[in-house]
Amino acid sequence: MSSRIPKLNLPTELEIYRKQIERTVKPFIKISTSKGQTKIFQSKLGGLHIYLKLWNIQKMLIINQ
Amino acid sequence: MKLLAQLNFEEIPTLDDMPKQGVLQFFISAEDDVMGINFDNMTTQQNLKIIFHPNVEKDETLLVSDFSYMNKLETEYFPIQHELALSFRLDYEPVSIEDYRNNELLGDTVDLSVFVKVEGDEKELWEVYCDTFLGEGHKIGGYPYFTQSDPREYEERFVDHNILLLQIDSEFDKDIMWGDAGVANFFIKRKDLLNLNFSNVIYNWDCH
Repeated sequence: MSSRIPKLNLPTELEIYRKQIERTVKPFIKISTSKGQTKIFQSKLGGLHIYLKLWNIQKMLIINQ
Repeated sequence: MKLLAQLNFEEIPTLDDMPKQGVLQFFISAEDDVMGINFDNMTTQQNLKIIFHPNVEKDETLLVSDFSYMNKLETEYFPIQHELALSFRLDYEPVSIEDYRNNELLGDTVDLSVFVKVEGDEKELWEVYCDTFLGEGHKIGGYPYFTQSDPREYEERFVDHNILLLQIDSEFDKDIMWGDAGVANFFIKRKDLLNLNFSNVIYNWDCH
């Protein structure tokens, strides 16, 4: 693993396979949620979505299904 | 349809292959009792729609603000009960226990079937691995969590859907619930992601 990756915390029982387990490590983005309103263009779960007035009627029909 | 998730990549730490900007939206049919999934064809977007907008319009006068037409929807089956703001943090994880490539990625020298003593109790090592690297939680990238099994294991055409585009877990105190404490995942091929082609994404959810 690259030095910028923090050392993986492993239970004692898995230490024998540390090298093999570390080989599979990859980055990801952990997402945390909080209750509250967002702006229309911000990231969110649920709520209201960004939607341009100029978009065509076909897209409107898809969204309104 | 109703918004399940909206990701604005300007707010998200950079991850290889993921867009650096733009907004990705996930919609599912608001009134569908199986929450938009098609069990026979997990890449169809009949009751699911994934839309990418490369440029974000922030002038709210150009955006629709009247969503009152959505008030008519019966949303008792919808997995997210109210709007939730998101925050993002870069992290690292090894392959999860239920990722179908688990054995292949760990390699032949790893045997998780051996018995070990944990606080006086005898357990198979895979149970320790499962307790540690379940893969749960909301995330972009990394390795998935399933309460059942990885749908990519049995479909040859899913062999290249290696990137976890988004995972939305159940979160009881935030009123997110996939069936009985389940989890939803979206997988995409790397080539499709680089081409910003979101028409062939696997949508799966399962529960206990």
